[in-house]
Amino acid sequence: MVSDVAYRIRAVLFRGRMESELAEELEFHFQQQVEQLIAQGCPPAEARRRARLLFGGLDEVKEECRDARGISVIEALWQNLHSAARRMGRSPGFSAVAVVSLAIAFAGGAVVSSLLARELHRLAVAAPDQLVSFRSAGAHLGPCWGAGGPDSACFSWPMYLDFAERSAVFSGVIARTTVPADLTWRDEIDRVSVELVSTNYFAVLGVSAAAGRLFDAQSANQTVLSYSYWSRRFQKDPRIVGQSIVLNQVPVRIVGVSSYGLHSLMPGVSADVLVPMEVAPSLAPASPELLAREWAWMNIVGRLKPGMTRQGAEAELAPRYRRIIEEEARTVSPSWTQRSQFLAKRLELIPAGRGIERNIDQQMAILIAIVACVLITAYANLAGLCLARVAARQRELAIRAALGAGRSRIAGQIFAEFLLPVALGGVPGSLAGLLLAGGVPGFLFDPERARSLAGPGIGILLLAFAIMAAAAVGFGAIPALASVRGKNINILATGNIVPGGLRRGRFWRVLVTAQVTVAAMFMYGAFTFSSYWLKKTTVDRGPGHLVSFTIDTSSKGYSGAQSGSLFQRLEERLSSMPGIRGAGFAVASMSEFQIEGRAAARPEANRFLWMAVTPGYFNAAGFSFVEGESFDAAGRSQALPHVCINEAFRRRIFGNRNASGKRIRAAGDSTWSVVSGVVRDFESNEGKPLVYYPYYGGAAAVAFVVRGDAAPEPLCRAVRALAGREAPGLRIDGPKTIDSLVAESNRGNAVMAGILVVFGLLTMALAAIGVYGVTAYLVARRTSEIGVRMALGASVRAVVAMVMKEVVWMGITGAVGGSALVVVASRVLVPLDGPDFHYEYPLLLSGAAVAALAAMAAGFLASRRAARIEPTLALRSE
Amino acid sequence: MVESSLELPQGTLDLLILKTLALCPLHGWGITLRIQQTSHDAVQVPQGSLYPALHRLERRGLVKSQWGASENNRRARYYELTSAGRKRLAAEEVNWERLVAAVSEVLGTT
Repeated sequence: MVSDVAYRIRAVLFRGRMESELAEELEFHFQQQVEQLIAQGCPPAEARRRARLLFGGLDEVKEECRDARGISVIEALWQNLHSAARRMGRSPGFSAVAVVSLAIAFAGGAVVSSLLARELHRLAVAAPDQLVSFRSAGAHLGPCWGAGGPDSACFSWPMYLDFAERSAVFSGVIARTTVPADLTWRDEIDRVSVELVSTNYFAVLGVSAAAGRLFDAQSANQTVLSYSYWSRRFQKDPRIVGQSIVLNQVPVRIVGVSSYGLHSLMPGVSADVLVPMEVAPSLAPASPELLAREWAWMNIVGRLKPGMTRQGAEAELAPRYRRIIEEEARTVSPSWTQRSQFLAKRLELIPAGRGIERNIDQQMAILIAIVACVLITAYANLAGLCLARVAARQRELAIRAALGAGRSRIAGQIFAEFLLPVALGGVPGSLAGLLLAGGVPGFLFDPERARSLAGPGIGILLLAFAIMAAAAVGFGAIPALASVRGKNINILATGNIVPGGLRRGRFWRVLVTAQVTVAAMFMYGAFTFSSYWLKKTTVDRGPGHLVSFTIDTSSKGYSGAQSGSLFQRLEERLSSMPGIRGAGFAVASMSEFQIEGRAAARPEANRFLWMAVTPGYFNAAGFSFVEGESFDAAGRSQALPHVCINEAFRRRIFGNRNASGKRIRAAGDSTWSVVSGVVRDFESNEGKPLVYYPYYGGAAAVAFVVRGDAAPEPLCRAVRALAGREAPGLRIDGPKTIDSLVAESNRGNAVMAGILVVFGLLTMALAAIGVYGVTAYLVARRTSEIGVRMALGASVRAVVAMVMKEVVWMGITGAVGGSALVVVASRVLVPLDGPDFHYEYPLLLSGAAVAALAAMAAGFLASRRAARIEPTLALRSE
Repeated sequence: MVESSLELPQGTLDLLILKTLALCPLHGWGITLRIQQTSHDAVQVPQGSLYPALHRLERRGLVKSQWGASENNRRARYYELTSAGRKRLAAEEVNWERLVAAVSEVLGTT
């Protein structure tokens, strides 16, 4: 085996020498034969002739020797690639589209598999498989801070203490959450992400310090830097250990640096500084409520004792968890009508060896599906094109087979024609994708994590590329096998090109129709986003100019009441400024809502944004009511508090019927609220349902809107000056005009629109190639039929019409199918969090029309080509 | 000569080449002559198949080749058996004996 490979390699490397040696060897034999014959009495000329006869064809023998040496496999590969390249050069346009589409598909595959690899990266801690995170699906009675993950993984501080105290099942239980903070060091302020952790965090995870030490039980006002922040901000300077920094207003001492590769337990969340939870009340908005049972704001992770299973632990913990939530229901909200639903909550333990579970699986699945879709269509199209070529070259292939070309040789050539564009597109595409995944902006994931991509991540990447390569081989085998199928290759014997084959074309027709369907959907998406984007730049915002700024008191450590009075004082001052038409502020959050008389299938389906606004806010922002009136006008003296909703909310929940007087309630509210009015949607809201509450105080950060007569520039200056005077030393963002804020927030939409336009054009191009390939294939198989028709007097137009009939059918079916899917999706996907998905018929129609027209244009080109056949030539091919 | 020569059954050429080379290294022409001689011209080596067979055997590591001078002082490629080739020859010889015996048996019974 080894000698075999070595021999083959030698045969390739020293090809020239091997060739000349072969010639010399055979020549020697030939001469000996001639001499023997002469010695037997033959005349020299006759001797030569007979020697040649005895020997057979010299070239044939040489070829067989090459075969025997194994040279020819590589030689054949080279020749195949060479001829494939020539063939690509002959139709540069389609080759380019094929290569580019494959490059994009491979780049997508590379990005998605890197993301996947990163998601499945195991934590750099001791025995990560023993870690489990707590999860309890269902409503929360109090506020929930998210902690960067799903609400179901959010628990309260007392809950943590309950489970941390006694540990029959755990060898340790830790808690974590994330808060942003201002880190001051030598008068430089940096916005950092603080990982608040229980003091036993490092001990339970079993990690060591990269510098200094990690904190322990007596750790008040100590902090540990993450390795990545230490390298980024302090260039790995070990002298930073022991120094003091200020987090918001709290001085803390750096005691050490955590080990390399230790990221937040919440995937995708960056942890710059780790601080013991005991510091939290002074760090976060001062709230004694943080320690209350109904405030859920941390994730709990336990390390199972060796030998303890998750199921065993769950069974063990269930009674204790039940007692806890019963107590919580009793103390927190005695009037809670859905008490039984809350009490039905169960505690689950989820493997956390790769971090705390996040709700990313769905997004990931969608990404994988899109990439797989594009890759499969790109492959299928290329295979279709190759198949069309095989059909058109039946006679040539048959002649070559008759002249002694082996089946493997012919199949190999067709295979190479498939594989070359795949390689040309796939290799640079994959590299670009990997580069992109390594440097994708931080809002997708932590760049430090990207850099430490290793271990199992590589395995997933390799697996992904192996799958993509295997798919290439699979699709390439279709035309390769077709080229050597019996009836194709025996064409000379039967003298007949296999006719039309309606049944055999069906698969490709369905495929191409499906592509037009997908293209229509993507084009619709591209149009929708582009139109949103175009619409937003031209909006009438009423008289004067509207500016907005945010103000944050959390770094000062104000209480909720202190912050509230500060904001209200600022609103009064701003309103009384000369030239100001109105000022107000709002604070926004998300909650799950109940609607009286309507049970949601899933609580998260009714998770909406809500804003607590001052009366001045509606006024300044210039909102108008499409129904009812503001809660302020309705008065607060009513038995139940009033709220307003927006049009999108009414459309989603009440189907555009009158909503005034309906009752809704956010999770945690003790009473129902009555809808007093419906606010007209504003353009930057993107059709998301919204609930407006009256502002009652509290909140550490709010957003102000101010409407004034002055030009934007001086207006912003004046507002800033006043805010700076009224709230010295507070973090103020802005003010900026609403137009510029909308433009900023639109940047994300522009990216999305760009992606959709690219995917739309790509799928459209793919569909067009597909239609072209299939049409060419079907036409090539009907060459003789077309020839007969034309010989009998059919015009070019008639032939084109005949072919176009099928193309039009495919185009229209695909476009109608795509539109239907959009309509269905808009009905099915509505409950998902996100913009209200209402389609617009003009956009839907134009998306479908563009996709269908592109497909038909490609089909027309292919059929025109077919109709250019000389009748006599076509008949002669019979 | 043509009338008296035998068609070689498939696969026997390799065996004949190995056996011929077992005595001493030979070039291709030499192998042809030696087989003709020892079979008293009964076996005519198909010359077109000889060299592909030699190259195949070399690739499999059963023979190795080197250039040397021929009897009439020309450059010729000499083939010789490797140890793997020797082992293969022994095995093939046993196989052949069994095959011949079996075939004779069958032929003898009818």
